[in-house]
Amino acid sequence: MKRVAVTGLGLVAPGGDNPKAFFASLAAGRSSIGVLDEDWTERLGTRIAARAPFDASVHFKAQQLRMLDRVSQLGLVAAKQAIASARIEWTDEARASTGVFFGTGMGGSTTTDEGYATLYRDGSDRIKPFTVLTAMNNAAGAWIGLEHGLTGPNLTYSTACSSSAVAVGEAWLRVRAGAAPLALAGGAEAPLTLGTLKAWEALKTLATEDPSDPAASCKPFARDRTGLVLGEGAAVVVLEEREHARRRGAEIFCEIVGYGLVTDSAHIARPSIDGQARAFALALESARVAPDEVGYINAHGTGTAANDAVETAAIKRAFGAHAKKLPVSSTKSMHGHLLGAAGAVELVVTILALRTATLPPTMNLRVPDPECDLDYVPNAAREARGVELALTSSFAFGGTNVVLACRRV
Amino acid sequence: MTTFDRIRAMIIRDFELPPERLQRDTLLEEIELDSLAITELVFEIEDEFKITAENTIPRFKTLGDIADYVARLVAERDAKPVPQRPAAKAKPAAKRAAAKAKPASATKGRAPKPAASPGKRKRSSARGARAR
Repeated sequence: MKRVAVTGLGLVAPGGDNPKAFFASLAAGRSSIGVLDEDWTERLGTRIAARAPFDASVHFKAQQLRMLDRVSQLGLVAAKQAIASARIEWTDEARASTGVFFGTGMGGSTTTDEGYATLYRDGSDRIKPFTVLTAMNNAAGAWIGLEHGLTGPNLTYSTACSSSAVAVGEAWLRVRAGAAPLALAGGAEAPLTLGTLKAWEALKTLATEDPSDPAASCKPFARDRTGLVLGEGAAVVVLEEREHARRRGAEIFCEIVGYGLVTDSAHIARPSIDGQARAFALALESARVAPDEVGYINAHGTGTAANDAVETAAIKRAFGAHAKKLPVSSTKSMHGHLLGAAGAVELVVTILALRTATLPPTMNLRVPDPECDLDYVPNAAREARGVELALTSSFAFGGTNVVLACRRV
Repeated sequence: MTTFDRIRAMIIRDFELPPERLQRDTLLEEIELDSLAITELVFEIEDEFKITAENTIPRFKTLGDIADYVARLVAERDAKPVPQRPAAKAKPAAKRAAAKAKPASATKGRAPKPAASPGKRKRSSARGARAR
């Protein structure tokens, strides 16, 4: 088995248009959640969401934009950053073996929304000719492959909120097995459309706006938590066989050492303690580490009543006595839930937490919940020298539970 | 303005190509208009000329081919006899609409429609106001 390094990071997410700025924002405890002010949001019961600082016209010509849903735009920019930060000098051989492993839950939802609006609201048959190509779930991954001429496998995973965590995990398996020295892995989501927001609203999982401070509406692990806040963004990492990276003198951000993938098949939406605990245990097992070696978990921590209590119980089950000493934080309190992109975005957070020895906080945790009684790094970042191993968890509707394990280098 | 001139103006606007490169005998591959770009252009042409292209778009070689194709469709459209008694023809559609108990237009046809009327838009925002 090969060892797998992360040699490139790219990200656009609420709080920053690059990994460094994004992490700095989280470490400062700044929330990027706000009230949407576009006209169409008047019909929403909950108008809070997390927008990424992203102006597509800076990155793409008008002609390109006609073919790119926002989800692809975000994905392309994150991938470009990741490749630049890895300083890859492409050869024909490298392009031929490098694959793109991408995750998205909702795909091109802006395009889908616009298509339906044309058809049903406007009563027009004039659906845009590129609707299929722009809305399809694999568009973002395909465009990344096209832009960089990568002809290895180009695979899109859609497992709801664990999509991009699965994408990273599956890419990791391939690089670890020696199938290719390089892989791009990540995900993107752009769900801030009327149709998507309304659908989530109907599911009664979205947070109620905090009347005193909308930015504080997402309160993971707190007793007064009311739900999740949707966000948009993308993150991509370059996975590289460690010796390959060393030979070319690449900077290594961390090693990915474990991947736990478990389907709980218990319920389409309700989280499962057993499923989540087994994902943690499997990640530890594949990393060949003991529970007490883990120094930080970037939790799934959505801020819903169900998830946070279940995840707490799962961590206790998987880590035993060590759970009480193990810092766990949910940065979703600041950047919201990026659905299919969440896994990759929070992997970047986890990697930068290891590199900077800074644990980003769970914000808005003022009212403790007896069911959530771990160390959630509440309300302020914490210096954490000596943390060598960190995990990030992503749990999804449909029951696909994923935990990735990162080791500091 | 000829059909070609109108199409040429659309290409200049939508594809940001220099006018001097756009002649009747210009090969599409020379100006990198691939099959997707042509699909997009034909979509715009349908709106501009109020025509409906055939299900399969022919393989055009030159800009002139496109103009000839559009001119033919326009001619075919204009040659179609205008129904003598449109009211009788609209009857089945009116019946269908009535059966669905929808106040929506009973004259849904093949002709391209403009975007939603202000009336329609107003109705949807009123619905939204109630929802809140």
